[in-house]
Amino acid sequence: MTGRPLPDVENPLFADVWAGAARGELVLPRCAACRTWAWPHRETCVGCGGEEFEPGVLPPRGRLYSWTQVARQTVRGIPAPYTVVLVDLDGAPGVRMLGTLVGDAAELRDGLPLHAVFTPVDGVHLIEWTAELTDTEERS
Amino acid sequence: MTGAVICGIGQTAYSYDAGRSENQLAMEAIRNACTDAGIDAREIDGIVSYPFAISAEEIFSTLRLHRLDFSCSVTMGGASAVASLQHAALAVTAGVARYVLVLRARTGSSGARVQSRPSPQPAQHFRRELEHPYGWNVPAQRYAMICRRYMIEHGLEREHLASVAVAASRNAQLNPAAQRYGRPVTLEKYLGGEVIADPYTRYDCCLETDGACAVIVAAAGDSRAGVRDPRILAVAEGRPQTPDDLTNRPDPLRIGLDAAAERVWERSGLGPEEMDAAMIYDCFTFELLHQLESAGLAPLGRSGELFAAGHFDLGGPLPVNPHGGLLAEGHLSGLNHVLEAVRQLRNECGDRQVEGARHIVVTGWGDLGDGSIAVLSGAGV
Repeated sequence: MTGRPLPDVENPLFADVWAGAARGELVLPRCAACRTWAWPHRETCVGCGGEEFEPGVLPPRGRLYSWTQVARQTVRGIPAPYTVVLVDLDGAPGVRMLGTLVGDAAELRDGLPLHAVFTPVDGVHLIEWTAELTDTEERS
Repeated sequence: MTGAVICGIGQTAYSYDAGRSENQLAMEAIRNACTDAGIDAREIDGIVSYPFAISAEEIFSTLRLHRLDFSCSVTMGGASAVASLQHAALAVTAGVARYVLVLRARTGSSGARVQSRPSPQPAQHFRRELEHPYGWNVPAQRYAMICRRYMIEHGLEREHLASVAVAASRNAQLNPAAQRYGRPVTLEKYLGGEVIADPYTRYDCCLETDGACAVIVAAAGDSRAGVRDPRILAVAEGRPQTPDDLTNRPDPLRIGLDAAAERVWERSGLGPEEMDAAMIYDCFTFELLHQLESAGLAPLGRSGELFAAGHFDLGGPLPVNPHGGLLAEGHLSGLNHVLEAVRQLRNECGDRQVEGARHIVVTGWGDLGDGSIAVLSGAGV
């Protein structure tokens, strides 16, 4: 065990996301009525007020929107340095995901294509991102 | 004269380790503010408190107040101090309370580190489930993400950020109460600062402080000090899109202050060009630049080069944070900015006095981009 903070995979708001990640899929909730992606997931759809949601599978790809290279550790079990990225999802315009970068942080630029990587940590699969295409299959 | 005034201000020393509790620091600042206002502390009958800090009940009990007719807590993080002036002004002009206390007391330096403090931020489950697992849990990391985006869209040089940190420290050398007094941050020192969360390095980040400051707000007619009191001309608060989530905000460069500033200029009947000085919430160097643009005090995308050119220096066209701000005076969550505005408008600032200051704008920034802004005017203006 790394002792780092992990998501609660039982939390109904995000359970489908972590279950999808464990299968190597990028899954986000979307409104069953109007199909608006619910991210981050709220109990009521921001598009139509609907209260029913279903999991939707997205291509595990996106483009870099912003980032920060963290040099001082602030979270137990996550030693610095590491890079946190904000990624615009290719398959869901307007939806962004936060995650950590796997691999080289030297060449980061606006719009850099990234692939999702599903990294097992203490029984949860975290969704990370990498610019190194060949890494994707190996890690998932 | 009608409307609300700031009739008293008080503070403790600002230090890295006061060796005293939040309660003790708070009481000293309150007593000083009441002395300044010419009232007995037990006459305070309204309190605007800060979330997860000393409560109105504890203040009531410790000071043995006669009564408490108005109390509220403003949950806008660092934007709370300036927004609190709005609540206080509304209460005294409506006749609900006579002397409303706005207080900030903290052991921010000797107490718990920022990531270990209880957080009053909204939507904690987003933070816990989707952000902390990726090592994104403190303001420097969150705001670095906004700063990076600004760099992509508008460009921003290291020297621009440096000029903000160095100017704050230079101003603090004229303020014996500042934590950085006698310990200036030179350009060399700034450039040698270690990275915290890129692009923020050590000296892009504000200080941590033990201390307290307090403000008493009254209706103009209830002030005992009378003619010297600065008026609260207008206050506004604003939220960004999705104020409980920074990651999926359509445009993270649009902040709460955008809307608040628009309203405050409308209500005050004044514009940015009529301000004699500006107290800008400077938790990090870029946040100060960002707010200059948001409040209309600098053109979009140009705040950095204007700052580096000296536009916002003491003696320049629009002096910013003559006291040194959060970067160099101390982190009292921006209530110390209100105190400096009051001192400037009362012409009490000595070497750092902005000559003839009549109108001063004060901003607050907090949580995930909440904003607040006030225009204060000197007595008789």
